[in-house]
Amino acid sequence: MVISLENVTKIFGKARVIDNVSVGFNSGELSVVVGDHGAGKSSLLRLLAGELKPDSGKVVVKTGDLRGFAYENSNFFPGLKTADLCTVWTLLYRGFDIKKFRSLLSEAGVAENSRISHLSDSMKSWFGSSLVLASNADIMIFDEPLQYLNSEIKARFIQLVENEAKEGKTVIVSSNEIADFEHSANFVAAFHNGSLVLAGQTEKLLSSHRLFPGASTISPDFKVIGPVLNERLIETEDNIGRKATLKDIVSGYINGSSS
Amino acid sequence: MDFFIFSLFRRFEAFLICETSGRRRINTFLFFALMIPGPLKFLFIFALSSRLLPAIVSEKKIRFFLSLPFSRTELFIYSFIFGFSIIFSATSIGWALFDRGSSPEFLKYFIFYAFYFGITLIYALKIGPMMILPMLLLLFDLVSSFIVPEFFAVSSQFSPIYQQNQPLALAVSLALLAISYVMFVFGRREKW
Repeated sequence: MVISLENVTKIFGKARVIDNVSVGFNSGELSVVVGDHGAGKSSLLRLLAGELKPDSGKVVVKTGDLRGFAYENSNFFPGLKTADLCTVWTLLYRGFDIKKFRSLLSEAGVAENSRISHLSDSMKSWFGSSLVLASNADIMIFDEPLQYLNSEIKARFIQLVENEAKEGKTVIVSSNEIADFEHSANFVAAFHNGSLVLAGQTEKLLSSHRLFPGASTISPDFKVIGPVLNERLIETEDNIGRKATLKDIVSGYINGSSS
Repeated sequence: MDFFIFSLFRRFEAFLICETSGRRRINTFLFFALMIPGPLKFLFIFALSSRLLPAIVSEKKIRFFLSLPFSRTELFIYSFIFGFSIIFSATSIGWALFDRGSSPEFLKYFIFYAFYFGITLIYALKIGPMMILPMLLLLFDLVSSFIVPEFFAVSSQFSPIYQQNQPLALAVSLALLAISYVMFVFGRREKW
């Protein structure tokens, strides 16, 4: 594992936003952290990025690995310009690729010397992601990067993070919607109310889960995970019932943990 | 060693770009205001100290800095050094331009700055963005000699404004600065 959480709990006020979570992320993989709003995704990413400290447990990072973090609703100083941050990242990340950064900005039509506060939400989001993508950081963390993007730019972002993972980076992305990463995620971690309800390699998850109609009788030999619309998600490697998608599997685990 | 120092300078430069480009107007105003000799300087030092790391924390801009590869210790040190550099350079220029009769009291300004940097940071970490209590503390320190002379007799020894016993005032300021450092660096109940 390049970066991992070991029995981490984080509390805000009286809310346990991360509840005794242990999960690790590998290099060369695109890992997707998924869950509803308030599930604990952003807090998890902030802990991974070192922005927050756990109340208990620990975050373990492989020595020397540099983290790049693009977070939701980036709270930049109002006076900063895109060029200022390009300089800042060049100073902080030795491998920062200015050429790549400029090319990424132009793809979304972001001017190189714009005031960040004047950018639209989608441009801000793309700008933050572009900084991380050009940083050459060993661990790239993106909090809800697709939220404000149109479908064309979304597809481009997914292609870019897939490439980074293939090049050996540890890429961690959070999203409300796993369907966006159905064909690209290598690892999935699903959260519900601050708890980790599912973590596993995508291929393994897809081959070990099936859907059954809700009304059918299921043998007690099978482990029922949870309901998915009118069906139920079952953990089995047998070729029975209907094949589950990644979205079905995540829904089954989240629904199963709430019922 | 050389590489470490070089890297440290690069990181400080990155911090300075964020501070100076991000808040150009307020920093420029305070720089010129701090050139003015006289007691008003204390008010501007107070304004500056509360606009540095304490404001970054209370306005939740700290998330921006912590998303970059800065440690909390670095941010504390860089912010403190940046603030005192403004005071030092503005006072030096102000002294050369308007006040060459007496030598500038850098230690006095340092004690005052360290005291209120610490107080306002503790306040931002524990209470919130409105700096009412630190302002009241400054006001009380200023007028306590008129209100409670008995208390003033003791407090003026370590008061960041009066500094009757300068080593004691320095010790108190450094202690507050150290407390604020520990709270910022090791605190786990973040308000951001």
